[in-house]
Amino acid sequence: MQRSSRLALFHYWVAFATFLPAVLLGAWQMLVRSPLPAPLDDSAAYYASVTLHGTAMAYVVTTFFTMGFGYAVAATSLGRPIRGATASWIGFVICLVGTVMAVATILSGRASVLYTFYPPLMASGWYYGGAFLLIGGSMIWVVVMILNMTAWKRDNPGRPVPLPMFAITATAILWAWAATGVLLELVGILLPRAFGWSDLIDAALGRTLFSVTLHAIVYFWLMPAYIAFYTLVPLAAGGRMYSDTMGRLAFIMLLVFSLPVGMHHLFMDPEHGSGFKFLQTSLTFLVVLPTLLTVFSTCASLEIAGRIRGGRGLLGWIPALPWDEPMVLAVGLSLVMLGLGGFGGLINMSYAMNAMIHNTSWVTAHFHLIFGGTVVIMYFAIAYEMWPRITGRPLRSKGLARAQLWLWFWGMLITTIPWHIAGLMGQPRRVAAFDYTDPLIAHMGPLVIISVIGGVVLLGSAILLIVILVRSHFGARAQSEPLGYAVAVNPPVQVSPALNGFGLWNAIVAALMVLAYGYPIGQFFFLKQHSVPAVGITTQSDSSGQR
Amino acid sequence: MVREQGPFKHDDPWPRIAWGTMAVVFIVSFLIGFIVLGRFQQNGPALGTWAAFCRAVGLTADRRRATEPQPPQRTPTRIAWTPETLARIASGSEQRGDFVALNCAACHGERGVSPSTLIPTLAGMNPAVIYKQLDDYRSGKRLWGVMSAIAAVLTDQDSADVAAYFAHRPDGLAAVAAEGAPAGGRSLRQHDPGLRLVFAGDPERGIPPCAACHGPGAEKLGAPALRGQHTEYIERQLAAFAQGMRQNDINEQMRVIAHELTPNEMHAVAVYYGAADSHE
Amino acid sequence: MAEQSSNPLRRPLPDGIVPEEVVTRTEKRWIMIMAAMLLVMMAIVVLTGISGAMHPSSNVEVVDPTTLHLQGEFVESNLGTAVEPDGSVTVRIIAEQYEFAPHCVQVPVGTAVKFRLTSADVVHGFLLPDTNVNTMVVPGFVAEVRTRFAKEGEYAMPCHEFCGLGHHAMWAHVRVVPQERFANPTSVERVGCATQ
Repeated sequence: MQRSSRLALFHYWVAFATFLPAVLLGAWQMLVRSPLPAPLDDSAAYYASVTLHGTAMAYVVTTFFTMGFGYAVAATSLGRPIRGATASWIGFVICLVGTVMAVATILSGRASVLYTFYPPLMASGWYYGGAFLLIGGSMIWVVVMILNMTAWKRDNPGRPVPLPMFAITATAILWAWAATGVLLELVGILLPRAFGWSDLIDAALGRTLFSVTLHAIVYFWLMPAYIAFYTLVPLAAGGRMYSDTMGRLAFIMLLVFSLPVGMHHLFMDPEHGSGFKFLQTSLTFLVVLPTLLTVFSTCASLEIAGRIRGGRGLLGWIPALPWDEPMVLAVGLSLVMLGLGGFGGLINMSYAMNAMIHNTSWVTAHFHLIFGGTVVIMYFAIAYEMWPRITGRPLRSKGLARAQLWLWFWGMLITTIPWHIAGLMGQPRRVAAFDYTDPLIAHMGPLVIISVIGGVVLLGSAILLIVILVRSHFGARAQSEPLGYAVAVNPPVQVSPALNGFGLWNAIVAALMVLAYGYPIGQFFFLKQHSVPAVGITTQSDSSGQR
Repeated sequence: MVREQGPFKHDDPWPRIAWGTMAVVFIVSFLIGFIVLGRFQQNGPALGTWAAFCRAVGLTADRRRATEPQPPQRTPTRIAWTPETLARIASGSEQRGDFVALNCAACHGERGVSPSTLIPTLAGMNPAVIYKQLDDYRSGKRLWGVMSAIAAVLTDQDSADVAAYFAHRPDGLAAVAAEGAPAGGRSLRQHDPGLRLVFAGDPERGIPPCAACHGPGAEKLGAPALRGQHTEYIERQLAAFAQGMRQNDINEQMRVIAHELTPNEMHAVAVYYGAADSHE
Repeated sequence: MAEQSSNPLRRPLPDGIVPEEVVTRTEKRWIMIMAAMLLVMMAIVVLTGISGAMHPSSNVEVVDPTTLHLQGEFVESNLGTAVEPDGSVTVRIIAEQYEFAPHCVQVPVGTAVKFRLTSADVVHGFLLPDTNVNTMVVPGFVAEVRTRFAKEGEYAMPCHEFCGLGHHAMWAHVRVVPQERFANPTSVERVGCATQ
C-alpha cells in the first residue's frame, strides 16, 4: 500500500470507528428524550452523552475524515506522492492523542459542557487540552496541503491547479481561519481558567470568539462533499464536469463568505448591537450563493451524463442516470436533503426571523439534516470510492452500499422532520427529559417517538456502513482503476491567477473579518467589567473549575 | 468568466470585481443596518440617526436611573460570592478554627456530628455555607436566638477559620463528589417521588433536581451538602423557606423551590438525604 | 466484480460537448436568478425590520452577576412585573441554576411589555413559544426583549440553553391576563402570579 494511501486510511478509520458509537449514543439520546422507557436513564449520563456525541461528530469524525480525504486528493490529483508525509503522521498522532484525552475526560463525567462549551460553564482542563491538541494538530495538515499546492505550482508554472487540489487547499485555508476562534478561546480564556491562572472569565468574549468557528466549521465539513459533487460525481455518472471556473468560484466564495458570518449564531445574544447582526446577515446571504452555484453545476453535470445515456425531454435525463452507482445515488439523496435542510437554514439566518426558532429543536433538526444528511451521506460515498483503491479489493456488493445509503436517507428524514415541527412548537434544546404529562408539552411526545424510530434506522445504516468497509478489507484482490477526477467539458488551459491561488482571497477575508468582527470582539477590551466567575460543571466549591 | 491569456495582474479583473463587490456590500449593509434599521424600535418612537447608530453599534442601552418610586428594598444576605469573599473563605485556618469550635461542640456535637435532630451536623459541610450562614446570623438576615447571639461575638476571620475546621471533620456529611458510573432510574420515569425529585426534579412546576446543586453528582456554590444530614432538620428548613420564615437564600433560590413542594415531598427528599444518617 | 475499461461509465467523452459560450451564458443566468432571489429575501428582512420594528436585540448593558441581590434593579424586592408611568410594563427576571426568579409572571394583554433579564451564574436562555420573545441570558449583561402579547393564555417558559445538570427542569410560566383583571398595583408594588 502506498504511503499516502496508508496515511489516508488511518485517518478514515479513526473517523468511522468514532462514527458508529457516536450514532449509537445519538439514538439512545433520542430514546431518553422520548416518552418511551429507556435504559440507563440518568440525566447526568445524558449530558455526558450529548457532549461525547457532539465532540465526536463535530470535531473528531469530520476533522479526521477531511484530513484523510485531503491527503488522498493531494496524492492522486497532483499525480505525485505528497510532500511532508512525516509531518502528516506527526499531526495524526497529535490529533489522536487529543481525541483520546477529550473522550476519556467526557466519559469520566467531568466535561459535560457540550461540544460548544459555552463559558462560564467550566469543564476539566483535560477536555480543553484534548480539544486544543485535536484542532491545533490539524493545522499541520493545513500546512501540508498548502505546501503541496505551492510546490506543484512552482513545478508547473502557468498551469491551472487541478480543481480537486485547489478545492481541498481552499478547505485547509478555511479551516485555519475558522479554527482561530476556538483556539483563541481555548488558549486565552478556557485553559487559563481551568488551570487556575485567572480568577474571572470573559464569557461574552468566549462566545464571540467561538462564533467565528461555529459557522465556518460547517463549511469545513461540507467542502469534501462539494469536492465530490464537482470532481467525483460526474465521472461516476459517466459525464463531464459542467464548469471548472464555476467550481473554483464556488470554493473561493465558500472560503471568503463562511467566516465573517458567525454572528448569526449570536442573534439573540445581549452583548452585540443589531448593526453588526445585520451586517453579518448580509454576508450570510452571500454564502448561500456558492451552494446554489454548486447545485446548478452538479445538476448540469448530471444532465450531461443522463443525456449521453439516452435521456430525452426536459427531465428525461434523471431516470437515465446510473442510479446503481453508489456515488450517483448518494448525490441524488444528498441534493434532496440539501433542499429541505437548506430551507431551514434560510429561516435561521434571517435576522429577526431567527427569534421564532432560536435554540429550539428546529435548530438541532436543521443541522442534523443538512450536516448529518447532505454532507455525511457524501462522506459514505467518498469512502466507497476510496476503499477499493486503498485496500486493493473492490466493494463486495454495490447493492449493499446502496441499501446503506437509502437507509441513511430515510432514517434522516424520519428523524429530523418531526424534530423540526417540535421546534416550531417551542421545544427547547439540550433537555435530558421532558415531562409529557404537562399539558403544555404533551403534544410533542408523539413527534419525538417518530424521531426515535428514525434514530434506530440510522443506527442500522451506520452498522451496515462499518460492515461494508470491514468486508472490503477481505476477499479477492482485484485492481480497480486508479481514482480519477472528472474533467470539465471545456478544460481550462490557463486560469487567471486569482482563480489559481489564494493571496487575493486571504486579503479579502482579513478585511471582512476586521469589518465584521473588529468592533464586536474589540469592545470587550474596553467594556466595563463584565467578566464573571467560572462555574464548574460538577463542582464549584473551589474557585478553579478543575477537579 | 473571462479567461486570461497570461498572468498579467493589471489585466486580471478579479481583484477589481472582488474588492468592488465587497465595498458595495459593506457600504449598503452598513447603511441599512446601522442607520436605517436601527431607528425603528418596538413599542417605542423612532430614534434619531445618531441615537440609532449608537444603539446599533451597541454603545447605548435602555438603562436609566429609576425615577419612579421603588418598593422598599429587601436584600436576603450581605454575602456575595465575589472573588474577594471566596479568597477570604479560603484563607481560613483549620487549626485556629479548632479553637473557635470549642464553642460549637455543646450543640453541634463533639466533632461536628450533631446528636440532636433539630441541630444540623456540620462535619464535612462546605466552608462557604458555614461562612455565609454565620454572617447571616450576625446581620439578622437569618434568625435563631442562640445562633444570632453566638455569631455576634465571632469575627469574620473566626467564621472563616471555623468553616475550614468543620469542612475537614470526617464521619459527618458525605462528600459531594462526582459519582462514578451513571445509574438508571434517575429520570422523570422514576416512580418513587422522593428519588424522582432528587435526581430529575419536576419541570412542570419548575423544580430542579436537588442533586444538581446538593449532590450526589454535582455541587453549586452555597448549596449545603445534605447527605447524612438530619432528616427532620432538612424538613424544617424546607418548610421555613416555603412559609417565608427563612429568607436568606440569594435570589430567592430555595424559596421559589420550597414554595412548590408539598409537605409529603419535603419529607421524601429529606428521608433520602438523611438515609446515611446513623443517628436516626 | 472488477471494473472493466469497457465499462461505459469510464469511456471518456470528447471535449466541448457543451460549447463554452453556452456554459458561460447559463452560469451567468443562474447567478442572476439566484442573486435576485436572495435580494428579494433580503428586502423582506429589511422591510419587516422597518415596518414591524422586528430586530434582534441591540441593548449592550453590563451588570455584575455576583451582587444582583445587593443593589440595583435586580434585587429580589424589585423582580416581577412593574407598571411604568406611561402604562407599559417592565418585567424583571433573574435566571439562575436552575430556575427563574420569579417563577411565575403576570402581564396584561395588548400592552407594551419589556422583559429585562440577567443571569446570576451561567448562560441561560428564555423562550416564549409563538411570540418574538427569545433571548440568551448571559451573565454580566442585561438581556432586553420588547413585545406585545396579542392573546391571553399561559405560556411555559423554558430555559433553552444548556446551563448545567439541572437544565431540563428549568421551566417557568408567564400568564397573560386581560387588562381589567391585571392586578392594578400602586407604583411601588411588583406583580407576581400569586397577587390576584
